[in-house]
Amino acid sequence: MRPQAKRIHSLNAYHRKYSFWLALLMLASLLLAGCAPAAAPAPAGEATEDSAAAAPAEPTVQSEEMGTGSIVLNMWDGIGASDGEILTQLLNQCVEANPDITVKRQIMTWDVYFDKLAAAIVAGSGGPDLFILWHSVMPQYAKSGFLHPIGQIMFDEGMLPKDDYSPALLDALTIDGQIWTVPFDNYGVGVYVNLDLLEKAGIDPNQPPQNAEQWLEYARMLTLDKNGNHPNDAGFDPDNVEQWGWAVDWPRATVQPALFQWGGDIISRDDDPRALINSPESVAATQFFVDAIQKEHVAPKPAGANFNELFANNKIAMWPMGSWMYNFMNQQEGMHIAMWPYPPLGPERGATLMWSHTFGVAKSVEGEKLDAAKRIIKCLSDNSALWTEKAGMPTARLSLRAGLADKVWTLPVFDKQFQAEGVTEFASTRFSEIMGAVEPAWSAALNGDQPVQEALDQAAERINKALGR
Amino acid sequence: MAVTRRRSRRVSFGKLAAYFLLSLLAFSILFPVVWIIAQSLMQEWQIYRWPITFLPTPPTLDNYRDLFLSRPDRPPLPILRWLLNSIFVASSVTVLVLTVAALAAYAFARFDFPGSNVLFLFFGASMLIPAQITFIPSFLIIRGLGWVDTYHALIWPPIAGFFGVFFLRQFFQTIPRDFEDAAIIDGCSRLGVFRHVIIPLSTSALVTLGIFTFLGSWNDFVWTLIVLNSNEMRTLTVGLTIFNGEYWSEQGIIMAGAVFTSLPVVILFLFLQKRISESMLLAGMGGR
Amino acid sequence: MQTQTQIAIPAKLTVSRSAQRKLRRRTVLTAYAFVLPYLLAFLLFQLLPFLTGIALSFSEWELLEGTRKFVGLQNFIEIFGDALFWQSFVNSFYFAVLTMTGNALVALMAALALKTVLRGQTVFRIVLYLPVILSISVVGIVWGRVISNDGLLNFYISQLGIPPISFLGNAALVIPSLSFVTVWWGFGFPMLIFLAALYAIPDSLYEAARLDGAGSWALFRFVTLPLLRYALLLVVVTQFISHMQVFGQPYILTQGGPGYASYPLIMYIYQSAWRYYHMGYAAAMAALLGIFMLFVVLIQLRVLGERVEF
Repeated sequence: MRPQAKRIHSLNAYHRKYSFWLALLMLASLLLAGCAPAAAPAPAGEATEDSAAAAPAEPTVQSEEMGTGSIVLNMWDGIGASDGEILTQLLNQCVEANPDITVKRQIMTWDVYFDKLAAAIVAGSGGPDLFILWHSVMPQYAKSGFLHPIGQIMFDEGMLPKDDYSPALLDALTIDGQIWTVPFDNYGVGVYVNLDLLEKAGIDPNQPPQNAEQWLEYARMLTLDKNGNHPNDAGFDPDNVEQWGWAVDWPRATVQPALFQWGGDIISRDDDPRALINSPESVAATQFFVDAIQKEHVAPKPAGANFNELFANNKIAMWPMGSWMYNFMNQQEGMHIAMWPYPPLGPERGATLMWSHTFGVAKSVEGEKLDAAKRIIKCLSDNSALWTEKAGMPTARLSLRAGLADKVWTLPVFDKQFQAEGVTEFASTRFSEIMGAVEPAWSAALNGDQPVQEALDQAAERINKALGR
Repeated sequence: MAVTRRRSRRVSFGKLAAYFLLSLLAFSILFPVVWIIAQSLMQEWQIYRWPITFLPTPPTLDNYRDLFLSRPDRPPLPILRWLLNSIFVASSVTVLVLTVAALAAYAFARFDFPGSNVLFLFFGASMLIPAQITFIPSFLIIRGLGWVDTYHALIWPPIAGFFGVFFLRQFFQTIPRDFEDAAIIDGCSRLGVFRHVIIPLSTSALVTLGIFTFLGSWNDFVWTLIVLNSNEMRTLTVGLTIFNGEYWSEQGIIMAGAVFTSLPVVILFLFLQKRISESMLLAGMGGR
Repeated sequence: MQTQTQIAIPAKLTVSRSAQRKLRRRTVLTAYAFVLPYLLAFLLFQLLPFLTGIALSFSEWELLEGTRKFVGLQNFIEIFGDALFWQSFVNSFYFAVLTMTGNALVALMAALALKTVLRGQTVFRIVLYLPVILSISVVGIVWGRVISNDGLLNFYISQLGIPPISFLGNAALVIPSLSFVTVWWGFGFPMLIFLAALYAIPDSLYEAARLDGAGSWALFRFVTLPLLRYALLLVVVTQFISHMQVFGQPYILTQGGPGYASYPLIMYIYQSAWRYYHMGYAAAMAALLGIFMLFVVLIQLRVLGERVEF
């Protein structure tokens, strides 16, 4: 700690203030103590040296500060890992193009991020200027008056071409006739398949399953216990499965599309939304997954399973999951992986699930800062092809997707299915609470801890209570 | 003769059982810890390999390097800054808690002032209030004081914790009064007595409370997370936990981060551990 | 034992009544001066938030809508009909009882063993206390790797030819598993308390009992255990209070799942406030939890504390 002491002159203001108070306190305690000079030093005094030495700390690196401009934008988001690095790369490009702007970016997990956003709203300050919201939670913040209708503003001013976005997506971002945020990407769910396992089972990867029966048949062919038996074979041992045909990962991503396929949904999409999660359609769809796990034994119980690890160890053949797994897939050296569309399982229609990361700007941002935020959003959006290319996340700008199909192996499948049958996840002012009720219900049902109807009824009750508040 | 032999055999059996139990407990504590340290020295692919491997072959410091230095795809973490922040915050909290708690504890241990019992119980009851009930209002107070995203928000509120007062009062009560009376006769003020008699006699209790307080502050997560916003202000625990969330796919770095965060407190503990058991004994935490 | 005693005024300094009163007043003032810094901190960071929290529990505050109104007992009435409140409450209570018992038993056994051995005692004491100083995030990282479906423990289980056990994915096992992790993490502290208590028992008592022909079980039952009463009370009370408020372990290891199987009350309170922006409801649940803990601690004091004085 010693060398730090030389840097006393570079104390930042906060540290100086603390050191001052602490020093004052120590001094006071020494002065107040009457009678003969101290023999033994108070332990408090010893400890101060530590804090004084710690005080002249200088930021070694401002890791997520980009640019050197005088207009500082605080940006918050939950995009981490390799995807987060690509966003950083994009932001670097954008501050280079806008040298008057500095972006201070903070990456958090989504959980942490939403908690901190709530704290910032309570505090009325200290929050971000520019931030990323899923389209599904956006209404919570739009309704609270926390947002500029930045999408509306930028489309009206002609900074971004409105007709370059999927109308359904913009529709999902519209509340009270205003578009509140600017979509960055439009991503969703497909199926990652392990080609080596398919080959061993004699399945042609160019023939994705056409219906639920076929999907289950494939899953059975691809599930093996330690004696090499398949689920329908005599002597199959469901407790010692070596390889799973299918994995029901995160149900929000992988069960939800099936609700649409059966004609159900989580809540109704009208002016007075009510829970649909316990409708006969939604129950039937959920039951299909529960049976696959509990009766057919073609997918592992989800609770406690680490699907990334299982997939990377060639233990899962067909893995429905989101666009964001693109780099994970690319990192698996020696594996051969392809993408299928989300399978048509339900009786009503084909469907997959879509989301969007969108940019929001806090209402408190004004003047040149607001202008700077708009320029950064425009730049990120204009260059979002890089986001697709490096992160595998389809850009929301339809015109930019065109040239990328050969570069991003997942994109052709997503592009085709999204346009044909993509369903955007519901958005709601009570989104967190609704999802907070649905996810445990799915988890309990898939795990076999609770009958489907009972679990979903309870979830529906909580949802209706939240929506009725 | 027969009796002694029987007894000595039983004693050695008891000892054997004690050693067996202690070894079992020590093993179950050290084994996962050592395994995590080993994993932090492994390449990413080796961590996930099945069957599980125990020895990093060959050991690599790549994960630690990645923790400190930048990579082609990522700027370096401000990890030294986080470390210094943690040291600063935890030491400041420790100093303040010790000072304030010792003063109050002395009053409760030595003065019979009106309302002292009621006040003591009243303070004590605060230990039963779940932090969550006061979480939001505390945050509002911090905001009112303009302390959001400053270290004030981390440093001052822990003073109100009652454990320190309780713990030190227990300890002070065991100090014989004669010392103080002598000092008073020598013309010391009450504060002088406190400063020159009580404090020097209580170093082990103060060190113990200091360690508990330091650890509590060092390991605090939720509150720190809520009140601090800037990346460079973060403490090591919060910084690395957030980092874990961002880099969930890179287990090796996460393990290295876990080892690195724990190291300072483990070292501190090893230096001061003797004081802890000493003061526990003296404070009569178990006595009576 | 005696509680507070007035400071001893040297006998030879007897003076007039008024001077004595003056001295007394000064003493009282000094006492308050000593308590003052703590009192101020307490008022600002404990009492004020507490009272605000109580006020909050009688109001409906929708954080994002910015609306806040007094609703009387409505939150409490709603809570009593809220199945999730009861489930999460039972989860927390189950966890607290299990962990409190586990911690007390392991800590007591470890302390007895430590007292027995002389050689190596320090090393064992250090190692056994070590997990206490780790943060919950680190404990989460360690145990996440150890008891996951494909973790270290299941590796050994599979070596024995037994199918892997989903410690955190099985609704019946998840709370005992979390409790086990917590005992691993925390038994060191009660162990030190017990150890201190054991050392405080005079050897003469054992000698006397032995002369009366007591065997080692009888020694433990009739000498050690009764004298550990205060330590036991301290451990049971503090353990219950802290484990009834469990949050970090399930938050990091299970997120409350599968289903709501390991969803603790504090997580419900936390999410209601910060995730669902339902502040008043959260405050009301927290108030009920506080009242319940007070109630349990009073029972503990009554059952265990008959002959204990603070």
